[in-house]
Amino acid sequence: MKITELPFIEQPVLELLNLDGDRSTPDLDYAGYGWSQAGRIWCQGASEGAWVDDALLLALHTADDADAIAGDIELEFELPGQPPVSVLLSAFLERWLPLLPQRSAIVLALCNPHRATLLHPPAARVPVHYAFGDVTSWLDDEHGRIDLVAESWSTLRP
Amino acid sequence: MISKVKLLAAALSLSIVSMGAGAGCSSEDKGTERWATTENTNVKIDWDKVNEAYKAADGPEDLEKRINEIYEGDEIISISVKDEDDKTQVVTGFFDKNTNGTVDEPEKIFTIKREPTGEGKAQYQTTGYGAYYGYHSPFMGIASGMMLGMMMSNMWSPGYSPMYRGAGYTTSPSRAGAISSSRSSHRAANPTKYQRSQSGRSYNRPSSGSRPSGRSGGRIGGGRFGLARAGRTVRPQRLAD
Repeated sequence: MKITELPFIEQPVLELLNLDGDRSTPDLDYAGYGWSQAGRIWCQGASEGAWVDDALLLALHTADDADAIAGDIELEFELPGQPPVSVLLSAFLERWLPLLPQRSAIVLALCNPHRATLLHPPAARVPVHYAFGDVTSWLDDEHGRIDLVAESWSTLRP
Repeated sequence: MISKVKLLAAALSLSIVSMGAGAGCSSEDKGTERWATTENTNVKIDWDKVNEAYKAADGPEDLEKRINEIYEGDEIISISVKDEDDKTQVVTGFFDKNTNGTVDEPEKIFTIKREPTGEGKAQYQTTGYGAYYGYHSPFMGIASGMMLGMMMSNMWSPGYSPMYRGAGYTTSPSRAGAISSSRSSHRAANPTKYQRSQSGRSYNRPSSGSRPSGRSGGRIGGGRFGLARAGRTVRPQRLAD
């Protein structure tokens, strides 16, 4: 299988972030991935948060036992009927970003357990927001706000 | 599908903050209950999670981190690990109130004793002390081949020799600051996880307006963007192209 053959498909943002259920807390076993175009997302860190408007949202996963890699994160994809595969985030973005729609920003919904400091991906022409530590998704359905909560967030600018 | 996205986008334009307060909890103070609450600390410890933490920990520092993420109070729980013989290990959790880096009897919160029961088998039991006096876990059996952290599984490794003889390992007072910082981040990133506290502490939860408690208050949990893979021996194939 090639990286671009992964079933990385567009999904409605609520389904992509597993927010279409009625859970009081995030599902820690959620393994869904894909991309979506989100009008507005709140990226919440421990001490501050920020709105990201008009974002290309990429939902990805890394395994808790993934190796620490300087400047990169090892992604893992569960596949139907076959063993999971891994891909380095840098390689994934290099192959996939040219295939996805351009928005004003890119948000990575992706845990970063080793707190890797990333570089701006050459294939991205807009700011890329990524997190340190665990990332979980929340929906404030009183106000229709989507939260991605992490220890902290960082923005890479082209 | 498109209409759902559009509806959400419209709703998002209204967005105003709401994070925070949570559901209350019931209080049980019998020593043998899974949850123990005391007048002294008014902070509960989920013993099931403590027991699981020991089972899953990869070493003393990992165990410290796990225990302090479980504990809902403000204090830092230090731990001491001592190997009494080749396979018997005692872990002590304690509040290092005098910051001398050693376990003083009044500071003890719990001990976990692990001892062998046969070839490739062992058991462990947790006992509460001080404010948590009276808690005794059942004896929990473990065996080689089970999904265990390195702290336990090491004892069945070829060439194993106990690492924590003598003074053993004890959380240093200087490390307590790092644990506190790490825990604050963990609590901020997991706001609903710490809503059980009876003390009403906010634990650095992001500030917000008031929100009704419970699910009806309007927060839905989604997913976590990591995969729990502890203990596996085969790693996935990495795609390079």
